Amino acid sequence: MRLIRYISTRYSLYTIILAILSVPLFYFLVQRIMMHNLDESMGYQKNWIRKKLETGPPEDFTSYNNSVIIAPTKDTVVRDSFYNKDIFIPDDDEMVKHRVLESVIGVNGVYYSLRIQKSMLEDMDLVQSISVLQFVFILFLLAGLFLINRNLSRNILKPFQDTLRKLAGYRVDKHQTPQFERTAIQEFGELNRSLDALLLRNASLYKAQKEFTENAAHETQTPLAIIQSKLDLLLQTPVNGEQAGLVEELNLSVRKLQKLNRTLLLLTKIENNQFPETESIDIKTVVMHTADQFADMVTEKQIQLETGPMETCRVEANGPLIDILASNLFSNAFRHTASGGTIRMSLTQHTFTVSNTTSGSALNAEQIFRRFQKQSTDSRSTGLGLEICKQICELYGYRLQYRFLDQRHYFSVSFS
Amino acid sequence: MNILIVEDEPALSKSIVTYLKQEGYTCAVAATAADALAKTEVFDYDCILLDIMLPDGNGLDLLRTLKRDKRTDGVIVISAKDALDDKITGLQLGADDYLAKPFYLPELSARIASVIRRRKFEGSNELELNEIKIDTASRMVRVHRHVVDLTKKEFDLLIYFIVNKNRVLSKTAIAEHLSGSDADLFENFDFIYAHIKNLKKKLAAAGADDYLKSVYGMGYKFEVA
Repeated sequence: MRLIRYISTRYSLYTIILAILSVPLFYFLVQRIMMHNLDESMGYQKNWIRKKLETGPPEDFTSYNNSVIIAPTKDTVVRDSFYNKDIFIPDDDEMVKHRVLESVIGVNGVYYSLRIQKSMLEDMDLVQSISVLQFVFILFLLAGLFLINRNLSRNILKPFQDTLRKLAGYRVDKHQTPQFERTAIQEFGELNRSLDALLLRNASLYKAQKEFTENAAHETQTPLAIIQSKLDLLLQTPVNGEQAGLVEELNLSVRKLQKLNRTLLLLTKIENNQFPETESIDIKTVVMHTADQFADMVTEKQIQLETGPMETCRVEANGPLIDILASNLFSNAFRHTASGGTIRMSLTQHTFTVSNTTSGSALNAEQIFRRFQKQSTDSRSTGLGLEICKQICELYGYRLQYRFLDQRHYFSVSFS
Repeated sequence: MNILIVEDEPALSKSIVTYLKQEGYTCAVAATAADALAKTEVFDYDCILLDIMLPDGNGLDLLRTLKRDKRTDGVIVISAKDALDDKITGLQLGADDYLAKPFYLPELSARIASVIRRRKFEGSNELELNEIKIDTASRMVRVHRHVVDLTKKEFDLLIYFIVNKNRVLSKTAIAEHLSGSDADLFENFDFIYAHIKNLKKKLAAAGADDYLKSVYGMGYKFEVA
């Protein structure tokens, strides 16, 4: 439920309940006050009549509409009684509600029955008018409440919704800190300021971590170069076969560290978006070039290289990155193809596919694209090759997929 | 042959000097860009090994200065940075070659020899070793005037061995020379053995001495007395 609706329904409910209760309450209250006033004024009138009766005859009190009727009575108990009564008014030709005071008064030992009646018509009209007015007032209140709420959610909440939308689209690795809309509301302003600070802190932490990876990879290259050069010199001194074997193993490890470093650097650079230059690239040329590069190695390992249909496919991307993508997919296939196996490449208008034969079973599709998730026991593999492919594909919005079919691993990149 | 090594890491420059001196090169070392600039103003070098990251500046700036002054020194850029951008910039600025750290010293030696050959003789150079004559431009190999038909790999191997003659070359260094950085895709380096065996056979058939020696447990050596 939207915040504004949540709040406004509660406001509206309270207003409606109060209104429903207040209209009759108000009605009865005003009516009571009116009646009380009538009764009081009739009481005054009675007292005035009693005083007049002490000096004059009751005939003097004949009045318009018989509103005051005085008649001698045998009743000797002095009393007052007020009540409502509908009385027919011939002039209007209708029954009109009246307030009636019937009392017995004694004046100089003579008892009179006194009846005073007053039309309540005007008073009732007033009460009704007030009630209608109040009802209309409440209607306006509700309508206003509704309109204000709608306005609030449209205008005042707009910066908030803008903030939400920008946050949902925010990615720490995309190097753009969202600029939030200015807002007059203090809480939203504070929220935006806190978010700004949070995102800035995040971005700088992320950057620091990236730089660390980059620097660490850089800085290790020089000591590695020193180790490598010393090993080369060591090999030129009189060493026996066993020592040479050790040097050779050290050589291999240095090479692997070097490759690991370079790959980490490359990954960092892709993630840092440090390959902004793009050009129109013919994938077919890239694939053919890659196949050429590996031609000798394929022959050495006695692997058959087949090319399937080769259609034209052009993409707008960074040249070296696309070369790396093709070459990594190919070297991955090469590494995992046994001697005598085949590697097949094909290119449709939108998809490049490399497949290779295997004696094994399907790979775990969820794990293969993760860093250092090696599916082979090959110690030369860095476990980062497919991760690089994945990063390149993510950078350009390509889809990298793995399938296993008829004892073949298929890796495909959909460029569209 | 004079080589200037611009490298701020003394341990590495010392290794390079040691290796190159044995090859008969005269080596000078500069640890800073300023030092290197001063040295290049006074001397001509056949080849300059240029590290990009120097304590007082970027090696590429030095390269720019050298090229602006129309110097003919061959330049090999050495960098610990990722190959992609520096390699492209370096070569665009007129460097002759690019080598990423870490590298094998025999590989460096082969690159230097190749740069010097190209620079000195404008690409048409005869490399001669006793009865073996190699025209590196037309990639022609002759033994006692008989043309030896070598594959591209065998030819590269022969040059590599001659440049690094009397040196023990490890199988990994040879593999990387032949296959570049993709050498690690092979589970073993048996394929080198096949190439070397063929090279030996072809040289022997043409009447060359048996220079190529297998050094047990280490690799190979091109032995010239």
